[in-house]
Amino acid sequence: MEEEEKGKAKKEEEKATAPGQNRTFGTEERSADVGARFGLLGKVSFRTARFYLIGVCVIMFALAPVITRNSYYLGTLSTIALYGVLAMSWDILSGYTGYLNFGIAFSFGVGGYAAALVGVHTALPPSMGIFLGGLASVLFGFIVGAPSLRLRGHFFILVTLLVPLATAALLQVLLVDGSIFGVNQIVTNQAYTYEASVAVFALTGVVLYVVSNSNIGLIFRAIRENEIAAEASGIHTGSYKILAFSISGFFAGMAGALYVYANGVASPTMFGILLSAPPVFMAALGGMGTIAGPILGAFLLEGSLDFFRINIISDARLLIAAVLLFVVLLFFPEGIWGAVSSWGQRRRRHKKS
Amino acid sequence: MKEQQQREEEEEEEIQKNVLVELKDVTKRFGGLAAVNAVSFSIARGERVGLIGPNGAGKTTLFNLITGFARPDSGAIFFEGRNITKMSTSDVVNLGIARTFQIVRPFTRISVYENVLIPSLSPNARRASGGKAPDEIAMGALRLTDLIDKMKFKASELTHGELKRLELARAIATKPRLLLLDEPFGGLGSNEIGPATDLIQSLPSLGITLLMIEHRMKELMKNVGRIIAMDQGSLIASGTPEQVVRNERLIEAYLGKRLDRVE
Amino acid sequence: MDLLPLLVIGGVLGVIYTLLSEGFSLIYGVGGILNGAYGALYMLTDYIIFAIFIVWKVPVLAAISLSLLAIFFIALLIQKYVVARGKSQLDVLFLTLALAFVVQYGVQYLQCSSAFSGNCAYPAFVPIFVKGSSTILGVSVNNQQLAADVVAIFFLTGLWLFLSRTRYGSAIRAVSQDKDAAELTGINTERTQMLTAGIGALMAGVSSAFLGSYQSVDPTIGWSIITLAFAIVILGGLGSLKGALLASFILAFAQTFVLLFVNTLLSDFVSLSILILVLLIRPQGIFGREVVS
Repeated sequence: MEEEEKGKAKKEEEKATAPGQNRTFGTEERSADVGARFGLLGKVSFRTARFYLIGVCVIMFALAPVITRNSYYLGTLSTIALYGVLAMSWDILSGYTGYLNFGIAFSFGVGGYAAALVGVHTALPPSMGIFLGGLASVLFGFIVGAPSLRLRGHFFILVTLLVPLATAALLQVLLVDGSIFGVNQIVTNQAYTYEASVAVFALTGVVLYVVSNSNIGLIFRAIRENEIAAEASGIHTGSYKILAFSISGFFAGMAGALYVYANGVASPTMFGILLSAPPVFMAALGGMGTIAGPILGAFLLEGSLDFFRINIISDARLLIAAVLLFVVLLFFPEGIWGAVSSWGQRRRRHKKS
Repeated sequence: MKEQQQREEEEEEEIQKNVLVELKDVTKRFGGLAAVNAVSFSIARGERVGLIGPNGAGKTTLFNLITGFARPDSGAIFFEGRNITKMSTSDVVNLGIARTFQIVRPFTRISVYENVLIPSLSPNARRASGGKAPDEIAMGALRLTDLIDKMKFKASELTHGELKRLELARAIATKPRLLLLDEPFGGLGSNEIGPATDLIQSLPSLGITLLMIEHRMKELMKNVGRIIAMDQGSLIASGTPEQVVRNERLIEAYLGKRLDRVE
Repeated sequence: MDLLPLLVIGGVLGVIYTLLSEGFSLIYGVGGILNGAYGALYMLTDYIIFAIFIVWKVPVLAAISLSLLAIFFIALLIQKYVVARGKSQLDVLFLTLALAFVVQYGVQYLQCSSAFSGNCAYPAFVPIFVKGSSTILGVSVNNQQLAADVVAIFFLTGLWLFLSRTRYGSAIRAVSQDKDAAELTGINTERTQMLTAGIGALMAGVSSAFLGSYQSVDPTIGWSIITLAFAIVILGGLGSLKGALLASFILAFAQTFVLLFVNTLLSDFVSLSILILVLLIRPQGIFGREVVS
């Protein structure tokens, strides 16, 4: 009798964990599949629509220079790639943990200035500078983030909003024009800029995808859903919030470093609201908490801005982009990707029953 | 004489080693009111203790104090000899104390499986299970609470009884040694009480000591070996279920004055 | 260190800050709605005044009244059709922020098109309508700013009386404490929230009308306004109108102090850093409740 029961239980379990079959539902899906790693990584499947989107984008970026030599288009694409990196970085922190960071420009700027220092004072290659920019951003991000992540939602918003502004003000005092000039320009070698942007984009996409789909990402989401319940489950939420902040800062810092190498100068505008705001809206437009959504948002917003730039209605392009954003948020508060994936989930549920 | 002293000391030590959690003179005030007033008691390993008292007696506050949701104004709380009075919730949980809430608190938009996976990821779960994978721990908890076939559902889609089981599964998944249950039978239908009782009665065999708040006296009596009673923040009785139920002060607390003393 | 200029200038500024922040405090601190379009409404008031005054050649005071009326109704509409649609605070925040951008870029587009004065190089402005200046305690102050203060004091006193003595005021306070309970007692929460939004917008509008002559009016000023109001409300303690009052003056004096006595280059950095430090050390502000994280 016992054997029978045990056998039945095992079979039920196997039904539930058959490879390839979706194991869980949730705001995202996770399949029991590739590379079972225990502990914090858990099982991460690459057979999801979100990862496909990342892959498709990388392939598109990679193929573009083959299709066109037009430097304007390539420039636009690398701008989209950079904004995509910023939007994804924003999402892994704010979309997943729910702590809205309105000052990602801080990480961007710190990474940029660090790279500027590396570029001006050392003979290290740009790739090292980009990596160091990311590290610097994590370090300074920790100093700022650790105390502010203890605060609840709205307070965190205000602090993150103010910090980059304060930094820009300080730089204006410390440096001439607040800027660092003469960084070894690689803009003449546009090919390098483009390749580097795509490489950073690909790296960010893959790493953030893995993190978001792993158990770490699950804990981030738990923090967003019900932080107290997460604490009551034995999770040290403080450490995880700092982790999210650091991961976010690392990639945003790399984007800043890349930007500085491409432009030859690090200026206080890198800390401005015009750098903090677009990634937030790109993520909201595309769908927060998905990593794929922000990429979509970056393409849509930046793409439409640049598309309109070459049209006659160029003056109204910002207005049109803003209206687009507003209308989408009004009817699809979970963003475009969010809306599509909910629709897909509902269809699948119907099919099952 | 020395031998007797030695023996007494050894006995003390034995008792101490068996004491899992101990409260000494714990007081918590809200404004001018003492929600918990100089409460002292201890619970030994393997015990199943019930906590009763009228509404507002301070039972949930006591749970909050033990699990780090609130800090006592005075007094101390010890767990396995360690002073946990000022510890944060996640630290307390990682020492081996878990609790369920009267009003369930699941992660609503996440699946049942993931709900239970989260506590399985806590450091204590890993340690206490001897290094088992979080996935195994989660599945184990789901099996125990009979939620395997609801694994893929979002928590928002569960019935009340299922949510209560989920609450329990999440607490069990942290691999606690002490489990505080806040009205586990609350809102359960008559067909759900049986399985719930079985489940709760199986917990000590997993090495879990129980402290349970419950209003449904019938269920409580079946499930505990000792009862502690509170009223207006103070401990007013402690003993076997039969003893406590006949306690006069307790009856007064629930019903007001004794019937034969009413003018 | 001559303290008189600090007192006078800071004091005059403080009153205006109070009007500005209490408007935001009403909507956010009391009403619980983080409306990202507050700054945009501030900016819009100036532009509507400008449009009515310049384009339709209406005398200034009439233009201002019309503009305030318009802003009031616009705020009502925003509350009803945008804010009410948001299913969570997050939704509302993002929706209103997006709306703020629509307003900003809309204004920017119109300003640069031929519909108005023609080209972007011709900035919008609000004419000074209270001329001259007076001397208070030996410090010279513009009459317009003094007038602004007088109006602000009247408005704030009226608001306080309104909130504490009238039926509508109690409705606003009831809804702020518990929306569902208020609904159950027969209060029309939808209309109450619209009223709150309208009054708040009016306060922003009045501040804007007076300050418009001294600030450069451009489509982006809304953001520094909302940042200022947000910071003051949080410093004073969420939900506390008293707190916003105190915090407004503290900030006004602090800013004036830095402006007068500290290296002007540093002034921005110092004010911002102090704000950040206070937030990190005492996030509940002056009168706020404990913030458990």
